[in-house]
Amino acid sequence: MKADLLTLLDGRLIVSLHEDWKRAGQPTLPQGSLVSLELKALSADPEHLQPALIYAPAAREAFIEAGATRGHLLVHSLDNVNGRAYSYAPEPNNHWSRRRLDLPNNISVNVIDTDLHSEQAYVQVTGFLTPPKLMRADLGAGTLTTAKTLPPKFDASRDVVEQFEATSKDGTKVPYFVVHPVAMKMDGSTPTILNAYGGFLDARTPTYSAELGKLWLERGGAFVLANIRGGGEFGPAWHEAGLKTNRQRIYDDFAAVGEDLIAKGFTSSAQLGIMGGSNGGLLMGVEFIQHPQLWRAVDIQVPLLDMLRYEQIAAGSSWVAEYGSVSVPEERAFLASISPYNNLRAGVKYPEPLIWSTTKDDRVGPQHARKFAAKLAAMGVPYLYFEVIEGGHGAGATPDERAKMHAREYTYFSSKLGL
Amino acid sequence: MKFNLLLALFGFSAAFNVGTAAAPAAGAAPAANASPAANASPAAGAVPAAGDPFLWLEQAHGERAMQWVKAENVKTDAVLERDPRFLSLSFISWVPRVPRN
Repeated sequence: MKADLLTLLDGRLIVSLHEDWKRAGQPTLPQGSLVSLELKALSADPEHLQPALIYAPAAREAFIEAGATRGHLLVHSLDNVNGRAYSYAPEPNNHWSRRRLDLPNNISVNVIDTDLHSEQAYVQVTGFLTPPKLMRADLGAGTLTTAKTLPPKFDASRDVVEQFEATSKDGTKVPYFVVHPVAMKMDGSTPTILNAYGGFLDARTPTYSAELGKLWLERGGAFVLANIRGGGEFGPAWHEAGLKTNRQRIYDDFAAVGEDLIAKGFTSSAQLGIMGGSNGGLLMGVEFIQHPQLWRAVDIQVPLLDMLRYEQIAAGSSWVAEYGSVSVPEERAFLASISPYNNLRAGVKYPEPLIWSTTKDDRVGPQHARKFAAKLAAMGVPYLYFEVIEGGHGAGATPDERAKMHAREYTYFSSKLGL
Repeated sequence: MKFNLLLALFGFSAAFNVGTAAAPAAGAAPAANASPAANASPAAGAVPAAGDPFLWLEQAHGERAMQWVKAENVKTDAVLERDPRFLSLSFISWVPRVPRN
């Protein structure tokens, strides 16, 4: 069984379960749960473990991390992608009680540290419009107080964050956050950037971004984060639903969010742009070939794009568990069907994409981005290609380079989407 | 230490790296998604290298590839840097080290 040993609390081992723990004659402990094992019982009879359930995720919940203080356990979980923090205390008879720490919706939580010698812990709280805030938790009292807040990097006073849900092709409900001007008209006229990642169990939660705020939101644009399958937003099952030959679900989820934004009147295809990096860059490439008319701008950042050769390029061979391998016939057939590099078609009207990468990226490598651009050039499809010559798997090695790369991106979106 | 180290694997969005946020892919656990060795090396000949006219661009630091890159960068910045918005979007005060030339 896949599980993580997280910490010790007052003679109890704290374990998170990556898959169901099936036990003869006893209820199954579900995937994504947190359980404790008393060390005394464990060493007395290691053959018959007696786990106590601390936390079991409800339908739209996921466990993220936990840390111990002297007598409590701080648990960070997601509830429909909203960050939550709980203080748990061990009780007699293998039970745990819990108290919810008071936090608003539409924010992210990050456990900074927990003190084994007191009841104190520190958590960072942040949101799309909320600069990172360091908060001190007293797990005994169940309280949170602000210790320090970073100064705001942009004027967020005219914006608001909301959460909605789209319905994907197979009926799965896909949540998404929209950051938009309070005063926007719901007539499809707002320049909007849609972003997602969709892979590697990576839960994408609200984040404070100075460049997004300053270069886009403050100027009246809207931003959307889609919590598509492949990530860990709803625990391991959300990730596993989109592995290997099931990956089309991830791409359908993203398109469903795009269509929902248009249906709700946030934006229209002429003013909808998409951005994603790395595995999210592959997502961009797939959306580019599968729905060329749904987006006006496609920002393909440090992408994977040649999925028939990805195992030969940079660190590609280490991601076979996620994407599958061309050495397995059915996986090869699937990769051939979605590989953006291999599915560009003459005569299709594609939006002009911005494709960029970095020369020294040794994870994804610049190869995918280059070849895709070169193929577009050979086909006579307009595109913009940029490669940062210094720096790794990111937008550049220095603040200057990063600032210029972000300026290129938001200039591109502004020009395409009319902002 | 924490579960989100696992989550950080390969995770990166250029839109989201600000201030105190973790650097892209920094701290990522390289082995966590490593695949079984048996699956990792596709059979020779299964790889569609033949007939790929742009294979030379896979030479990350190759001379011809870098010439191509530099020419692309010039073309792209002739569009983006020349856009009237570029100046105001790149000289943002939160990056104090950007030169104001």
